[in-house]
Amino acid sequence: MKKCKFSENEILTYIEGAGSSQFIEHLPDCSHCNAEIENQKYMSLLLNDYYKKAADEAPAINIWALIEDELPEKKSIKDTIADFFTPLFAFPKLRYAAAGFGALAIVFFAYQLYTPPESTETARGVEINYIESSKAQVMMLDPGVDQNNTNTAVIWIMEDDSSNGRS
Amino acid sequence: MRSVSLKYLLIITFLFLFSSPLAFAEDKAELKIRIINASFGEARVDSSIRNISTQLKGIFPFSSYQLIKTNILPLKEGSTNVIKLTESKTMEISTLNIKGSMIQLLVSVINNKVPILNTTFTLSNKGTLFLGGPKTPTGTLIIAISAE
Repeated sequence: MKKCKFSENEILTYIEGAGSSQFIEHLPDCSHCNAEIENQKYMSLLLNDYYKKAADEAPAINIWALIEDELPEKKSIKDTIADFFTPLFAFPKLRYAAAGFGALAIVFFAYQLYTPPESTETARGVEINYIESSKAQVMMLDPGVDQNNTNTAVIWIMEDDSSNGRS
Repeated sequence: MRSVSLKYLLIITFLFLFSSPLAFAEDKAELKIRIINASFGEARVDSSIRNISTQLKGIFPFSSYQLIKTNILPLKEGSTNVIKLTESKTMEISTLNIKGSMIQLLVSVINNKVPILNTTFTLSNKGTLFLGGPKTPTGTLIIAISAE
């Protein structure tokens, strides 16, 4: 077979559908190029078939699964709390002590929260415990409970009018 | 099952322990001393003492109540504060005891370095004591002592 003046690149360009007019015009008379074209087409078919088969046989790669495998193990809040408290219950004696402590603490705080303050009968009010005056006359008034249910008290220091404005 | 309920008991206890100090910390009170000049002039009540105006009008015969000053003192057991009332008179106020909403106070009124009144009283849950009588050039002083 007589070798042709056109290069292999020219043949490949023709196969891809962009062959020059000169190359196309010489093809009917060139057995070399026709044989090369047939060869290239056959090679191309073989390669395509090979890659298709390889792609079908290869296992699918789940990238996220690979990443997730490398991440530290995730725990729910419930599991985290359980992990914290579980060692405390490992020993029966500690378990009973913890239960006793818990019960006492709840009773204590319930008592603090729900016990009303002492002497609620004087709530919202004032109670005079002691009064003493040796240098002035003092009067104590008890107006009683007003419309706002408030008990007020009044201590009045009596001053004579001679001290008015000079005190 | 039993172990689970014990776990929850302990968790609830921990929550109580950590939440209660915050609740008590919010319970801050202070002593409010309002010094009022009462007179028989034009009927007028200072807007800043409107919340006690009903009590003032109900108890005292004056027509005018003017706020001279307000002293806010922190409530601290054992603390003593001195407040000037007039040129010659001062008032010493000491916090003797704080128990829940009950506050026991000792008040002394001193005239020219001579105590003319000593009294101890207990304020409870926003109660108010009115201490009055000292004369001013324009009227009479009324001191409203309350814990808020």
